[in-house]
Order: sequence, then C-alpha cells, then structure tokens
Amino acid sequence: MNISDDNTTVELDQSNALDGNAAAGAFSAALGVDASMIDIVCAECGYRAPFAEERAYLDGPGTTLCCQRCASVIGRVATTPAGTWLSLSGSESWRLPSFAGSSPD
Amino acid sequence: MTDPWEPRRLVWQTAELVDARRETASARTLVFSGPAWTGYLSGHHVDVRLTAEGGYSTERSYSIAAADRTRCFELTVQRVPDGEVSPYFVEEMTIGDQMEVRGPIGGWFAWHPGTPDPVLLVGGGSGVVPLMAMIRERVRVGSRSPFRLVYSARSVDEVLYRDELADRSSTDDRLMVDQIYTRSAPEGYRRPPSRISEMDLADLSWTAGSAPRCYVCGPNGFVESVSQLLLALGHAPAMIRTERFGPTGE
Repeated sequence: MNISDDNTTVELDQSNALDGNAAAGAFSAALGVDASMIDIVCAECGYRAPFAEERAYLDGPGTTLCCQRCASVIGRVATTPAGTWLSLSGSESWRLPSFAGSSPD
Repeated sequence: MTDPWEPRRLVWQTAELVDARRETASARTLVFSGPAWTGYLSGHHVDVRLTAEGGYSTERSYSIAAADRTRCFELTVQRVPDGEVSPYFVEEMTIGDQMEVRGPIGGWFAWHPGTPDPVLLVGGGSGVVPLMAMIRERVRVGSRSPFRLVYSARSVDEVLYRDELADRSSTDDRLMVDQIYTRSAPEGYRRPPSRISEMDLADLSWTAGSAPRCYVCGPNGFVESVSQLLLALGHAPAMIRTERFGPTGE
C-alpha cells in the first residue's frame, strides 16, 4: 500500500507490521505515560482504536504508528542527537480514558 | 487499581544477565538484574537494545515471563531461524553480559490483579510467555480468579514451561491448561494435531456467558484467527486483548 505522507511516499508492507504494543515503549518514553491504552482517532478515516491495536512499523528511522483500518500514518516518534521528535499530525485526537478507581483524565 | 495514567519516566537502563536456563532446544529463559523500575504488571513487556562493537544497534520488544517488584526480570526467547537478535539471546549471551532495557510497559495487554473476572489465556508458540507471567502473578498475589490457558504448540518438544504448567494445573483446581498440538501429538493424545478451532475454545464451563477477560498472544495469523473464533463464540470485543509478534516472531 502506498501512503502519501507530506513529500514522501512510503511503501507499507502489511506483513512487516507489528501491533501497537511493540511501539508503546518509544511513544511512552516521549509522552511520559503508558501509551498503549490511549484511544486514538485517525484524522484520515475517523476510525477510533486503542494504541495497542494500531499497526506499528519499527524499521525506522524512528517508530511509526498507522491506522488499523486505513493504514494512514497517525503518529511518529524518532530520537536524533538534537532530541526526540513526536509527530501526531495524522491523528484527530488522543484520549486517555478514565478507569474505575483512577483519577479522571 | 493503580492509576494507569501515573506519569512514567521511561529511560534506557543497563541490565545484566545473572542466570539462564534452557526451556527447549530452541528457547531459553534469561534472568536479568539491574534496572530500577516500578509499576510492573504481568503481561508487560520491555524494549531491549543491543549495540554491536561497531556502534550498530537494534531494538526489539520482549514479553516479561516473570518479575519481582524491584530489580529482577525474566525473558523467555524463542530462537527464530535467520533472526538477528534471538540467536544471540538463545545461543550466545553469557552470564555477566549486559544490554540496555526500557520498561516495563504495555498496560493494554496486562492482567490487573484486582479484577475478579475469570481469565481465558490463548497462546500460540512463544506467545505463551506473557500468559505464563499472568499465571505466575495470579499465584503470587493470591488471586482466586479462575484461569484457563489454551496453549498451541507444534509438538511436545516445543512446549515452554511444560513441567511447571503440569505442576501448577494439577495442584490448583482454578487453573486449567489445555494443550493443543498443531503438527505432531504424543501417541494416544486426546486430540489429533491440527490448528486451533472453535471446539478448543468452546467449553461448557467457559462459555462467553461467564464473560472471561481474554488475552490472546502469538504470531499475526494465530491472533487473527483466535480473535475471530472468540467473537464467533460470543465474546465481547471489549473483553479481548491481543498482542502480535509480526511475521518473524522476533
């Protein structure tokens, strides 16, 4: 599948995809909370899914999260000598759901 | 339940191999010590970074097989043919060797000890590793939640934790273990070798009506087909948590 993302075209081969669990470390390190349980809405198709159930590509550079349904890029994180870059521009929203017994988000 | 949104400062730390044991001809459990961490839940994983002498480094995620609350954790690694990282863990890494580790992480695929619901664990191959962590944790915290593990392996030789699972299930009437073989089964085994089917997951005492929390872990295809079977059996999507390895299992 070809994903047009800014000026680059990325060949996304679904057979290389892991699920979001595998990307949780990189995003959690950047966000400062456990990313795996965050509910994400894709800006491209509007599909909502937990981070852990999206698709993840770790082959780099950086870690890319793609929509489970339409495969659009919904988030990227990369660490360079200048710092850690976090791009969430392919997503509409990130919701930290409240859980019984936890403080509201 | 602890606050899942408690700020986590996840940084790379050094871990050292302090013990190791062979599980099967192609799998090994490695015990690491070193990183100071908090908030471990069974089902969590760690990111691992290995750096070669030339500076080339590569990262992988591995499920935690067991952990104490402080500074020790175990990984069970299955060697993947032509894999880049797993042969190192299974064949080469020696006591005293170090690596970088980040975690524990992954609350989505974690069992929370406070929840009383029955738990259905479905593992394919080394997908049993985080499920074993849950079985061990259940005993450690004294939970009375009924657990059932349905574990699919190619053959007896590839079954991880075989003795421990037999011991635990024979002495605990709230832990059921159903072993499935996909390629070859021991002579006279109750079930001929074949892929996991609806029959394996349907059980009179474990209908969807008892609303177990389902944790499914394995290669992509395994997780996909088990998820479909569970949905067909009436399990609610919200009760099914999955973790996939990807195509190579590394």
